[in-house]
Amino acid sequence: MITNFSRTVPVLFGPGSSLRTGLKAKKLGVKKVLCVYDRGIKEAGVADKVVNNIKAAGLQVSIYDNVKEDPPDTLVDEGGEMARVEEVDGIVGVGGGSAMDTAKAINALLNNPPPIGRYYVGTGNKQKPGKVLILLPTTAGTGSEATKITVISDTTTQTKKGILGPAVTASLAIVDPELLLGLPPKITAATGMDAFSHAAEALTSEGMNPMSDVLAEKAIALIVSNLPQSIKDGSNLTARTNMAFSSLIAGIAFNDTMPHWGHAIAHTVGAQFHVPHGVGCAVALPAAIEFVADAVPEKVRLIAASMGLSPSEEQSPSELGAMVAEAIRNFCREIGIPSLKDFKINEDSMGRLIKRVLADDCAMFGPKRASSDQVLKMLEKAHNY
Amino acid sequence: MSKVLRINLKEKTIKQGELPEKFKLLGGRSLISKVLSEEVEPTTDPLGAGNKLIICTSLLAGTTVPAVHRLSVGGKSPLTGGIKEANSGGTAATYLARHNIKMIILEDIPASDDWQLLQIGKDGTPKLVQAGDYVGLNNYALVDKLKEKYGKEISVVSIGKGGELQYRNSTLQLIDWATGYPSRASARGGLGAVMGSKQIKAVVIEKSESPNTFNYADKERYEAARKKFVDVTVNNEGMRWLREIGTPALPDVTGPMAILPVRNFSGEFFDKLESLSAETFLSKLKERGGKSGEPCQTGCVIHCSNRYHNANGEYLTSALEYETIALCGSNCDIGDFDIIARMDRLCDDFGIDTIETGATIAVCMEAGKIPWGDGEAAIGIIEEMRAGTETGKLLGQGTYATGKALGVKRIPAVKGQALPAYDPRNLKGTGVTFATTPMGADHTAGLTLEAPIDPLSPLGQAAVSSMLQPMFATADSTMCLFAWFSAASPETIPELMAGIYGGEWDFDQVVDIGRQSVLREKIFNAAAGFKPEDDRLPDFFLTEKSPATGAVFDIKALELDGVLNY
Repeated sequence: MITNFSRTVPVLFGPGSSLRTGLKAKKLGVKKVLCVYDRGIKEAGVADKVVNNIKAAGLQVSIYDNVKEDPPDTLVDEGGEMARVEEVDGIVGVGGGSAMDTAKAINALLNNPPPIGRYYVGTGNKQKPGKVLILLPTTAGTGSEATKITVISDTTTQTKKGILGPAVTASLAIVDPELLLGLPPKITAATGMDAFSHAAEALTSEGMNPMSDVLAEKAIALIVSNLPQSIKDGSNLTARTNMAFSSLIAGIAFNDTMPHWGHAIAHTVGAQFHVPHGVGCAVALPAAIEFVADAVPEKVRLIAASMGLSPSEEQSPSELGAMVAEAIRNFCREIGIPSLKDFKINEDSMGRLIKRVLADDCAMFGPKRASSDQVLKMLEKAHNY
Repeated sequence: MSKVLRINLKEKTIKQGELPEKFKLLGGRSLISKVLSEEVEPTTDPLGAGNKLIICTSLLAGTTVPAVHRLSVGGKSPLTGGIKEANSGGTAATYLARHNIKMIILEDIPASDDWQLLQIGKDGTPKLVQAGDYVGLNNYALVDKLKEKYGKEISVVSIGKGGELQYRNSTLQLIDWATGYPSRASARGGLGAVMGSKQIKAVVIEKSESPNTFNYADKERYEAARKKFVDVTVNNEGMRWLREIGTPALPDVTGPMAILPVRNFSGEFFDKLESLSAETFLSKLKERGGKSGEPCQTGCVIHCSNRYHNANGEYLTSALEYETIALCGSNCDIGDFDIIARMDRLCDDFGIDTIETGATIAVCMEAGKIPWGDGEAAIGIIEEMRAGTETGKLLGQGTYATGKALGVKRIPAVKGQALPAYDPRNLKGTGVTFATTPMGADHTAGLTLEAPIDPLSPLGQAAVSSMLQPMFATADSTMCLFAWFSAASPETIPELMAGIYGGEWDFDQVVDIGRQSVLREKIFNAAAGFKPEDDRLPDFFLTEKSPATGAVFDIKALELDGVLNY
């Protein structure tokens, strides 16, 4: 087997590391940054700390704080315009997946003409690298700080689209677990399951990669033991630190292998019904694992082991898949992941999502193809979580 | 209205009818799969009375959209034992469309030796004519003689002696618009043998004298859509290489990626790549008065064809294409355009497929029958086939039969059909297509050369092939592949369809034409006896590392099984 280990994003990691944001930006040669975040981050008091820290290092700061969940292309274009008008030479994104993905896409527009839709995967249009991009995650889930992809909502087609490449890859990730301390339990749970899904899908994707396997196994084990703690006691810095680390390494894990059917479903459910991405991932993952178990039984066995399960050698791939799927569902119930029914989505609406799931970029990376019927079955299982 | 001609070769009867309503939104490959599914028993002997030879035009034939006049030919393949469609440019589809003939179905076989021509008169009247005088002629001489008899302006679909001898590598040849020679081939799958089994030497189509009367559902909408389609095609910078060089531009791309097959798909780099470069090709054309940038059919705006002259400046062959250059060239360790062009001419004339023939020659080289790189010896193999000796007849059964008879372990064929010019270890998505398409290894079933994924990684290859196969089948049902990939998009194709056929279309509906065709073909093949194990590449691609890249074909069987599972 010959496989790629991509260059990973440089990372400054540890409690308090965000205090060095200004210093690091200056060292990277930045004079004026656009700081990208959502209003929630401002209300939590995190944004001002980071902004002040950057100013204290002698840099100018402009603010783009109109980030929305499932970042729409229109707001990326708006932020990109602001970055150009303000003539910034660096972007600092602070927040969860939406803020970091918006920051990434804005960075792409610094050196590439708008609109952002030109650069979606599949258009064949290449981008030049952006400028300096620093990302500070305030959730433990997306891993976006470490990945070479951003996911944007295409508002004309109501679908999620990926953009890949150096322009959407951070120059530096600053992973400060202290930024997670105020995160509410529901968001902690959902984002934590996003990281779990990255790891489990990276492990079972078609892009077999031993480096991804090692990182994914470790991430799953850490999430299983630290996510419930982070939810129970949001101020537990050890649990938060382990979650921040898991999210980071799960992100690195899927850089080379890519998530697959679970994410294709989560993207679709998210774009259609605005179900939080982590919840979509959590409810879809068990169905996805069950579906691929016969293609990659040895990898499903690794997930089982990382979760502390002990399947017998005699278990068939489908039994193994069912066992791991049920264990993930139980874990989700334990940490309070809501079901799609809680979002008032009825099962009948699953059928009209099939084509969109099949057209999602992530659908490419499963270790086996799915027919329309098989996708529907996965959707129904996700709905019945 | 479009007509269907049904010719029974046993009874010597011709029935004319209207194209049934249920076939109205089908053409080319999709029409063929539909008719074969309904009318031919999948287990039938491909060269027996139960098989049919379908000749038809595309879904857009008769319109003024450029490059939509491909002629599709189909039947149960004597080479693969499965369903088959092969198509070609040239003049025939344009001529048939002007007669409002959508499809010709040749049925049954004569009870005794009784060769015929099918003549379509100026007024569109079909007639069977005794063809005894023409039997034994190869395509170039045949077309000369037919032109003497029926006039210079005819179009011809013919078989050479290869088809008469029912060689499983035999073609139907069509007249090239630019040169007037029978140099365009519906090449793959041995459909020439099916025509030979029915003892039809040629279809001669006289030029229609009546005006074009295509009935557009919404002429105004159509004209706007056509204009947009043409604009996108001619302004597509990414396809400019086709006009300037044509497919001979490809060795420069595939050679350095070790996709170009070398020495019977050894997976090595080609050490004589420069001798087959685009620059060498163009300089040979310039030296001898050859030409690139020619259209193969009237009204084409892409102009990817060429004509190649010999050292004396005389016409030798037309449309020397990438697949021929690779299979008859690098795959035989031959780096000489003059030799390859002679091979091409001999194949077209005799009516055999250059891909199958090149692969067969390489297998002979691997068996030690002739030396690697020996061009004259390679031509000798083709001459042996042309002579119809016992050995020649074996060689004419194709690469798989030849390899087996010679005890060769590495036979590059899927479902009995030789691989085209892409090493599947180094362009894995195309390997997935070769393995899974119902057509047998076929480059026009879903080529992934332009896919934005790493061709050497397994990641995403099955998905890309799965997505592209319906797209290619749709192209083969509507227009030339190069036209499709120059301009077909959700912005262009649905509007064209709406203008031509009425109603509202989205892109997926159009692609569904191809998707349904592929599904029908799969069902036909399953009923013919094909199993999932037939959707595999030869073992050596899985076990032998490509010396150039270290790659093996590592897409799992379970992945392959799901590729056409829509």
